[in-house]
Amino acid sequence: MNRAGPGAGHWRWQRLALNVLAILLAVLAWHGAALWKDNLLIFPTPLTCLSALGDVLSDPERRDQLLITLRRVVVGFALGSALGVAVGGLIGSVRSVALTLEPVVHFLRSVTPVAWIVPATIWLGVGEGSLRFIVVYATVFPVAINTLTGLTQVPVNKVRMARTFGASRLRIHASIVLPSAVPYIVTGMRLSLGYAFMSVVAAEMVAGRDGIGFLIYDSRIFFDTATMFAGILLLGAAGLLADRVFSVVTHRGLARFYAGQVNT
Amino acid sequence: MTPPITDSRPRPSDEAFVVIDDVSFAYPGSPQPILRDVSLELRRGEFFVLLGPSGCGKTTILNQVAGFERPTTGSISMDGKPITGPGPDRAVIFQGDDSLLGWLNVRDNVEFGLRALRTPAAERTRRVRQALETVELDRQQGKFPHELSGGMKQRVQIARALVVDAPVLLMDEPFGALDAQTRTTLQDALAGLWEQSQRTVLFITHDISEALILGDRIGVMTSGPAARLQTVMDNPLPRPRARGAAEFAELYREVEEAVTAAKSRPPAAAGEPG
Repeated sequence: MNRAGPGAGHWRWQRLALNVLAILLAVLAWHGAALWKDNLLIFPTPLTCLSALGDVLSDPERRDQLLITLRRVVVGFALGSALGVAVGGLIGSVRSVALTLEPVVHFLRSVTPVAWIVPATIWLGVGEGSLRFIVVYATVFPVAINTLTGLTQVPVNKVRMARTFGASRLRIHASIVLPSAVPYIVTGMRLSLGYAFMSVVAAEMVAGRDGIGFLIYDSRIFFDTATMFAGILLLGAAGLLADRVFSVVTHRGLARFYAGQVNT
Repeated sequence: MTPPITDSRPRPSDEAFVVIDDVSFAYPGSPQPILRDVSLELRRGEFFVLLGPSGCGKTTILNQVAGFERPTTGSISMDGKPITGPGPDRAVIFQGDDSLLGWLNVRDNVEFGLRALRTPAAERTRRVRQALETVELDRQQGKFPHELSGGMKQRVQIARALVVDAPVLLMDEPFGALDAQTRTTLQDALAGLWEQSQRTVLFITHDISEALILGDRIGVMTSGPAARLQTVMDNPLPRPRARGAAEFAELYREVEEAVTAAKSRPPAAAGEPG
């Protein structure tokens, strides 16, 4: 973990300045490209999109679309993570389950969640059920596989220590192997959070009647490219913010599970 | 629960307690053994130091006594009974700090063994408090391992071993990663602690001075692979021992000579350890 040393404040400002510079350059390139293309309908300038974003945020009905999508992300992510820890934990703990389920899990995780949208709508209809299924599908496998990996990284000396005290296999598993896997589980969850944002938008376009994905898709009818970009900006900002919050909260809250990893 | 082992004898006896009998060890498929024909007896209540260069198989011997690994040939017994696996009668203090559970505070780390042994809660509380006082960590009991210095972490390990009252302590270079000052402090603390408890200790180090401060007897290992026990030397220095004393310096030279001789032994030499 990088604890702030002396001079860290200086670095912080330098990093922030570089970040702002990168964003400015991107916006400038975008603006240049839009001017060169010279067709606001096909390729709006950053300013047009920003004003469209302002329109979306000041319209209560459209502003709610962001909350609807965020709720789907949070609920699907929570369910998928819980299921992922359970499945990965079971595969990682019981050998017979591993032999049975592991190939199936590796098959399923290779199929993009997007491919399931259409079958999902046939089974679960257009709406919340299908959307939840897709987000859970997208989030369950990274968590399951990282949990599984964490459980196979046996902390040798911790387990040896427990064995000198005659600890049972169950106690060793519950009080040493599982807590040691926490950093792996958190890494899987962080990946999944990103996948939740990606999959929910695709699902909303095909199987949804609201949400940011639907807003983007719906804008095509009016050829409202500026609003499409406004939706993309919202998704990017929300995803970035969610990732930062998740990372800070887990590293602060679970610091003790990370400590000692760098030691012998 | 087994009653606490309190050896009333003031001095180590001559009785063999842990017997390492003609042990060789090789990893499966490896042509070169790590240990060859090591025989050694630990007497009840003695502080035995195994001294040797890095990579000579000292830790391998300790792992066999702890029961983590089994000898390829030969046998190890304790109190006449063969050692077949790890057990609460042999507490281990590991080389690094990675045996501490980072998600538990100092108190809970020390209590871990008692919980595994299903000691009643009141008894656990009493023993943990006592052990923490012994290693002077009672003020740090709420802290987590990553908040402690290297020396404090090793004291947590010592408390964790003391709390279960194991008759044998196996210590694998426990002070190797510490700065010189902390190391000498902990050496003196351990010497005092051992004198009060009279447990049997197998202590591994490559530091001659450490061996002289702590050990009743010092076993000098040859370099690996196929390491042997070259010789066992008595350490008659009176306790508490002073690093500056003339006798200390003299014995230091003797041990150093033995270590040098052990390093330069011809590969085929088959002289049985004395």
